[in-house]
Amino acid sequence: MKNVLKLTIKCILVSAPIWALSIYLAVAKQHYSNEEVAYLTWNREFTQKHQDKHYDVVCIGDSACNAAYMPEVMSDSTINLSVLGVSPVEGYYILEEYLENNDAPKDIIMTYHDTHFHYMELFWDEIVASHRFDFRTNLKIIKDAKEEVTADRGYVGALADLVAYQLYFPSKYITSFEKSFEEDRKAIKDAAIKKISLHNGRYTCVGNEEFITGQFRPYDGFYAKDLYANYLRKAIDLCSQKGINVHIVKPPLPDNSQMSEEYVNQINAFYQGFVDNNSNVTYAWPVAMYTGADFQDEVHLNNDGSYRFSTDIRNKYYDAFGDMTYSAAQMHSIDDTIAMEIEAEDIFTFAKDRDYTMVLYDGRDCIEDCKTLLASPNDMEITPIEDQELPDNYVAKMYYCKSDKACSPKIQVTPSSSGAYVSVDDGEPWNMEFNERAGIVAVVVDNINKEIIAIKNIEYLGAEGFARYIF
Amino acid sequence: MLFNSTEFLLFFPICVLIYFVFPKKIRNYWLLICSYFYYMCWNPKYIFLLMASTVITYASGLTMEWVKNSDKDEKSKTKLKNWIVAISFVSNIGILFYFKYINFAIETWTRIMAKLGVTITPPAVDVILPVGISFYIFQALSYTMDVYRDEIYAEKNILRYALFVSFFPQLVAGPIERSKHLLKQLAKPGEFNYDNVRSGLLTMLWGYFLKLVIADRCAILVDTVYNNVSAYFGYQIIVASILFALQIYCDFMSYSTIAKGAARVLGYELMENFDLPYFATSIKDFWRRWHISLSSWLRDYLYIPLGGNRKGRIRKYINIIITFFVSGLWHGAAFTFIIWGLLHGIYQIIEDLLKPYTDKLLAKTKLNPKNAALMVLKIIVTFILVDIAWVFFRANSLGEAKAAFRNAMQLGGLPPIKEGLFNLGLDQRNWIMLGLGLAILFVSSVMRANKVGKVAATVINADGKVTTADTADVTSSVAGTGRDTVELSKQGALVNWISARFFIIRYALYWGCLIMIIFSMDITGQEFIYFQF
Repeated sequence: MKNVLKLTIKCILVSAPIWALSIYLAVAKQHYSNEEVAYLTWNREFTQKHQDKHYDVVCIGDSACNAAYMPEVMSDSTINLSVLGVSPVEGYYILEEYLENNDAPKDIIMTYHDTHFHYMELFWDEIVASHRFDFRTNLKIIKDAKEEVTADRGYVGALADLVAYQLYFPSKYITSFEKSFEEDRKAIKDAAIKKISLHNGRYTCVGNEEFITGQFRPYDGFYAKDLYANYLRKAIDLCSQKGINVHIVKPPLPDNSQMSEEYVNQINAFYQGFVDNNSNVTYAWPVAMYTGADFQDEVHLNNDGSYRFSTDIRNKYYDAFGDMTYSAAQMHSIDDTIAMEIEAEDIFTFAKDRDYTMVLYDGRDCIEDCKTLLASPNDMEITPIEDQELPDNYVAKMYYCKSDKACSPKIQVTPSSSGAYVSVDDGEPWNMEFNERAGIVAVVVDNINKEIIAIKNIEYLGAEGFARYIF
Repeated sequence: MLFNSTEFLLFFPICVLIYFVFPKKIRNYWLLICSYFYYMCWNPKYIFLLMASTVITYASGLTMEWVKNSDKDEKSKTKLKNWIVAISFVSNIGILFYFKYINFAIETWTRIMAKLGVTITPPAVDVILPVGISFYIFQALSYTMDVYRDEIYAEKNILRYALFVSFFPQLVAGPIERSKHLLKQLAKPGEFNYDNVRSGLLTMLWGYFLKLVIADRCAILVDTVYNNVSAYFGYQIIVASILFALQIYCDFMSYSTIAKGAARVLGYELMENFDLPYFATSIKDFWRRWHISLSSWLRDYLYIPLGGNRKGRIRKYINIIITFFVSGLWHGAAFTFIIWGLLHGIYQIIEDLLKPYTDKLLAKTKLNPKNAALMVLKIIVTFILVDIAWVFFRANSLGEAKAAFRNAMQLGGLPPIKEGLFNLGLDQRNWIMLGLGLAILFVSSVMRANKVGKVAATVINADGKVTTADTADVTSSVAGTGRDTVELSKQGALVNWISARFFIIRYALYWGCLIMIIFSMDITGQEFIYFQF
């Protein structure tokens, strides 16, 4: 017995680096885990806690779903709880978890890309690794899914891996741990949490990268495995029990997709089957394709595509979303989208239906073109600044631009050495630098939150109008 | 279930804990259950092959024992025994042939016929190579041969025999144990022994170090080059080939080391499989040090029965070629392995032919054969020859092996070595880790070669009980104590040396080793090379 004790103590001592690292990995996740884990952690915390705010519409699905729906554009009462890499199996548990802790929404939008009706390694790499679910739920998934998630590691291997992840065994996290020496992962995580909170759960492909390809992607057929279809059915049944309307929506694919008739028929038949068997289910594939400019890659819509699609869905299910009055939180989300926008025209598109005012500086006598090409098509009006005490040379060059939906906060414009200072409600002034290259310099003001959100330089190309991209 | 998998890290402690908690009588049954479970984790249905091989060889042993004790005349006994051995061999080799070589045989036959102008379209045989089949079939056959030769009695307890064939630490990648060694130990269930368990665990740690820190890192560079060999030239191929020699050594030795450690924890001692093979001074010497359990198997059950060196020089050379041909084929159903084996056979024949001349040269120059510089030169030459053969072993096809040799000769137009080496899959950090790992391996090898540190001895008593002791104890007390087998385990030289240090140094070294292992875990996922054989 003495020897057993001695051996045990020695084993613990010799293996101390392993235990120590495991403990660190368990308690200091925010210092080594990547951005994706931050999103999944946010998602888990959101669904596992009772939210003070009631959401009427909840989006459930995979990354295609996450990228497709901009809650801020749909309604103040919409939340996007879809997660990268999940299939209907994990989607069901996310929904179940949310409904256990929160009142049932009126409507649920479900969207999964075709690939998630087959096994993907992301269950291990994302869901298990990030501890999105507790041990019991993961075990339930492994038991139900069997070879679907254990194919390349065996059932015993899967259980062992699950335990290893649960105990934060170093082999499972060492890559993240090593990478944390190269970048400040805490700061990255904090930024990610801020971003996902700001956009009500949307985090995939938030940005303006465009998908450019010369290759076609064939879609010849759709063959969902039973497991995934069963879980989709389970999720629908759960919604039926709670009296929730389910809208199965298939988002568009990029225009390099080559869909066979058989594929389209199979997709429609598959989803229509759920509609036929459940009175609370609708199915829509509003538009088959968008251009590559609306996508970040072959599956995920970028900001422009998401805005376009979310607007379409909002109009299609108008009853679900109700009247559109923008809350301060929604405006903050849209502010962020405008701040990262790189196309001149899109800035006006985002601003047109909402309470924004733009302060413009005309650097190259192009205000008329600005009216014709950018403002008028978006129902916005450009007027000279007359309510400020400015020198004549400023008065002749500076304008307001807004739609009839915009109110006017107290905007102050004062000359500066390099341009003009602009502030709202006596807040911190932003220096609007006049530069020779820009035809139009635009300061975008969120009237509801009374904040300046961005300064955009729009290049004027003379007879060719304005450059597509701002600088 | 790989030794470097998460399952094994959970399976092994549970297996060991329950093993020692159980009463001695049922410990081996528990081990048998664990061994079968271990094998079934890979593919449950292939357990039937393991069982079939076990039953056939067990039955052949018992039948031979029955024949031996019957009142038939000697001639009839021999005839009957020959038949039993033949049945055992044909059925076991038949299983091995079907599952490992059938497609290779069909493909080769189709090619030969095509060369002769006959086009045949044979049916494709859809078989998966059962893991470890070459190992356990050879182990089971060695038992049949040992009973045949009256070197051991047939084992009556089928469960014990089944454990001998399926003993999980060495089931899928050896060492290919002998019944005289392992079966005898299994007669007595292992007991908890603090020194054995401690030494076993440290041995396992060393095995993991070899695998994760060295072998898997070498694999990154080797795979980069050898999976696209036409894109690499000169030093790139040479470095990859040298690293492959180190990779396969560390990979295979790590498996054997972990197996040895795991068995020792359970109270059993497995045979040594390696004895510093890259310190060999000739090819013959290399084969005394490399994969000892296989080379001794081939020597005892193939080379010697063929006549060995007893039937003249020509016959001896033919026997060498046959033995190495089988060795190559045992490693894999591909011509690359056969060429690798044959090349070693040819090396040995050339070495034998040159021996009188080299001896004369030494005599003329009055050079001491133990001269250090001469030894180093011999080691280098042997390593180069071995490494040339490894090219065939590693290349994905004979064509790629040829391309590797051709490209290795092209030295011009390459980026400077310092830059070029970083473009082969290993970054600076990994090169440093690899260099450090190799330095530790080198120091450990030199210590072992010079027998530094207290050399542990494994003592197998007459009743099969295994204990460890210092060499001094063993040599002074072996006579008259009933101990009939003494194996000096030089393997543990570094471990023993570390064990004798002050605890701060000791723990610093353990932790250093463990930290290197932890920081190598991101490159795991590499299977043990010998799993495929």
